[in-house]
Amino acid sequence: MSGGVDLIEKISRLPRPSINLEPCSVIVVGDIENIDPVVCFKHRFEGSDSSSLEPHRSSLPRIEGGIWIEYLKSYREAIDRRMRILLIDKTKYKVLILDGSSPLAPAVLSSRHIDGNSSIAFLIIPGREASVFDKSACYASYEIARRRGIPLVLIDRTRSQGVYGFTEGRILRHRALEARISEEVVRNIEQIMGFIRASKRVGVREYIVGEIIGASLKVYGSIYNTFRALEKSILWSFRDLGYIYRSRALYVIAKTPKAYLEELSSSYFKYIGGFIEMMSHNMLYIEYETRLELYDIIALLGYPEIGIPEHVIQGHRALITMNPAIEGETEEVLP
Amino acid sequence: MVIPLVFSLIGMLTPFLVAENSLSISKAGQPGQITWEYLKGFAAEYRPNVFTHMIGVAGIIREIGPLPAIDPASLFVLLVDKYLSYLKAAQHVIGVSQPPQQGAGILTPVFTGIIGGGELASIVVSKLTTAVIALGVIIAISSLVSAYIPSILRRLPTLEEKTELLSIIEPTIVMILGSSVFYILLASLSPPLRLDSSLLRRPLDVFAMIMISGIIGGALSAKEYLVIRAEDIERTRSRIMEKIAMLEGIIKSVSGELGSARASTGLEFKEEEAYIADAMIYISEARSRVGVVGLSILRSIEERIDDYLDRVQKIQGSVKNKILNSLSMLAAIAQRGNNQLESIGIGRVFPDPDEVSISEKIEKIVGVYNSYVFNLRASLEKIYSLYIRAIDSLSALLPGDVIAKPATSPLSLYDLGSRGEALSLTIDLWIRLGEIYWDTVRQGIEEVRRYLGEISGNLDSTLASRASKISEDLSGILSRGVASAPEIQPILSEIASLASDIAGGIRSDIEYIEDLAKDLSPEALRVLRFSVFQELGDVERISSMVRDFNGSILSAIEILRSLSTIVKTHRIAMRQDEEKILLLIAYPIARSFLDEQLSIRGSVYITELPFSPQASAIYAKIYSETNRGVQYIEHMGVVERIQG
Repeated sequence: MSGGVDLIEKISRLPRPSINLEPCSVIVVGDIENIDPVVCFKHRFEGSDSSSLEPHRSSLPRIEGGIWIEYLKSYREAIDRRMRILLIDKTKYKVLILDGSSPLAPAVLSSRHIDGNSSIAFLIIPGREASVFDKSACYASYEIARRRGIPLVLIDRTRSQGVYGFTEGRILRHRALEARISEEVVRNIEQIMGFIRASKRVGVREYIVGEIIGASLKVYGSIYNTFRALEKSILWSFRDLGYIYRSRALYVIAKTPKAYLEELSSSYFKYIGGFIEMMSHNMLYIEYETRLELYDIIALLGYPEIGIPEHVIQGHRALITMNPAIEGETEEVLP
Repeated sequence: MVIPLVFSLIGMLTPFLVAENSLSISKAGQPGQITWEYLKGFAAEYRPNVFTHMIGVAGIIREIGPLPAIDPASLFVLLVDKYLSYLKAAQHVIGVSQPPQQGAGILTPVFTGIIGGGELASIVVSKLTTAVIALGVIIAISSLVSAYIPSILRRLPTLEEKTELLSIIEPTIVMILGSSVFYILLASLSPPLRLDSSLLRRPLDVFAMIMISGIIGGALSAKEYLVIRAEDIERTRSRIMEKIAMLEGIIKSVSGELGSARASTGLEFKEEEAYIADAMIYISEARSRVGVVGLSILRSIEERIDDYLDRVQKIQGSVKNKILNSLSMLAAIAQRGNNQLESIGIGRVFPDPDEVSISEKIEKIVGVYNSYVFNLRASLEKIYSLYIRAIDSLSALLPGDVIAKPATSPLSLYDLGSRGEALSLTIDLWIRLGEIYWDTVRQGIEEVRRYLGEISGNLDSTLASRASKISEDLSGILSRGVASAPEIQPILSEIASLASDIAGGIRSDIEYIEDLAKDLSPEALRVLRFSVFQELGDVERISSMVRDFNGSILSAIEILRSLSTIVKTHRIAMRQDEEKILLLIAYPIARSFLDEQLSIRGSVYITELPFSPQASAIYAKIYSETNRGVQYIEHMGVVERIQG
């Protein structure tokens, strides 16, 4: 199989023909539920027993006993080549959906084909129960993204396990909920990237997500109530709830039946009135019909820097405490 | 016949008249009585046949050659001499030269005197000249008259058409009239010519001459009659034999036709066959008798044969008629059957026969008949098998009613030759079936359709369209009538299948709610109960009814009745349960809200919650029931921590 990969890599050095590319590539790394983007090229990187390259799946051999540093050192160039082979480097936008626990995530984020202008990364933060290796990998991913100026959407997996969504007759929870949110972003990447680039100019680089998917007026009473309820369905843990209202940028994706449009609009403006440091906001309205007259509200709340949960940082530090060499190696490989 | 007779008379009479006259002249005072007696005897007993005369005359003509230049009397004597010599020679040649014994003694001296008496001839020649001429004239006239008698007779109106009778009586009449004319002329011319004859003196001789002529003529007539009769018998026999041969030919042909018609059509031709057998027996009898019986019996045989010929020929036509009649009868029954079967929705199942006329050959008629009988049987078999299926179906549809099958299959009847009866029986069976059972089926199906209509209003589009399709199919069956009975059961099975799918759908819905509920917080589920779970019992009952479905209308109605109730409530229950799910998926938000507010303030008005009042009340209830130290004061709409 590796011979085949070498051959493909040799072929990749030949002049390439001009190809009409999809506007967006989705790069999935680690334990993420399969998403179903309609208009993008999706590729999943994963560790495996052997090396393989398929149109939608790229495997790299597991490094026995290796942590994210070894993966980064060993596979950064390979990942670059594969992105070239797969023409990912030529797509307009790259959406990375990264399981923060994956040791491969820092290597993918380090690829020279990923940059702060054309890319956005969803980083799923592991829970407290995760190992120090996972937390260290997550820490590295966050740091690489931050240092390279790649916009980040942070999702706390502990929270995504505790809230629900409802769509197409199924309850969304945990990975399904994460996938549903990232899928909606991918579907509307053009508008969202425009907003994110603009927000980046005013220093907003990191986002958190709130979602009410499968809301019903019978439950919430009004759309404004739904916006109010968003603060309790943010997929992030805060010690200070007021932090939400100090968001600098807000991007709302609203999918409602047509009849709700007016109420949605008034509720939205009433809601953003509560934000004290708001610098930019926008709402993408998508009209749709459902049997139960449900509607969805997904909000991206942007900040200059959110930081990662303390337990992740502590995990990374614990790893350094156990092996101080890692600190030096970390600094060596981080950009 | 007359001409030879005339020649015979001339040949016989002339020499004796000459001889008598010469004797009369030579022996004056001696009348020609003796000569005439001789003549009578000769004429009566010795009559040379025609052939002999012909030889005699031919011999004279040949021997004479160019006539010598002598006086007529000498010439006459010469001719007589030659004639007699040839006559004698001819008699020797043909073996009739033996004169009768009785006349031998009389004739011998006469012949001797004539033939051998040269001096006698010379004496009489000169004196005989006038007499001979006169006699020749008389004979010629007599002959002429005799020659004309037949043509005169044929012109008589009464005899004109009776040629056979004429040919029989003609010789007798000619002989009598010829000799009468001869006598009249002789009697008239004798005085002026001084001829003498016993005929002129003795009336008895005249009578004898006429009698003898009559007897000779009669004999010839009798011969003619016998010849004609013999020819008639022969002709009749020959005709009879010809007719027998013809009759046998026709019988052979008709028997063949009958045999093949009977074998291939199965029709009976007993009368015709009996008549043919009778004709054959008679032919055998006629053949044995025809050689030995007389004309009258022959004629009666011929008449009988003619009669047989006539009737046997008619049998050919009667066989065709019989086949065509049978064909028409079957076609008429089939036509009636088609009309009746059409009225009960089966349609026109029996075919029409091909056109055929009696003028066609019997082979063609038999062909058309057989083809029709074959096609009719195929239709009968089809319709009877449909009937059996209909009975089976109706028995299954109406298990309470016992529908008996006919004791005798119409097909057996048909095969035994009772074709019309078989057709009528089948048609009657269908009509009775329709009259007795179809109404019950109709009522049951109408009820099934009513339930299907009720149910389809509460089903999703796919199942609803299936239900509508079933209802339409049943409606189509009802409009087609009893013949469509076998089509009902598969549709009822489709109803069972639809019911199974609906029950399966409800079970899936229940599982869906169950599946959703298991992801939700267990404490919330303790408070809210899902309605669809109560439908499980009904679903199981329907599934059991579908498993036990026996294909009857009643069974289908029972299933549909149960389904009708459950689908009506299920939609509502599902809607309620889905709303409960939607309510429960937001409960973590409500709980988070309540946790926060209670930790800050100790109590929360449910109106503060970002939910509808109903949802907020439910959340408050769930929260209070699942958290110790918290109570929900419903009338105040407050959730608060219990002090102490």
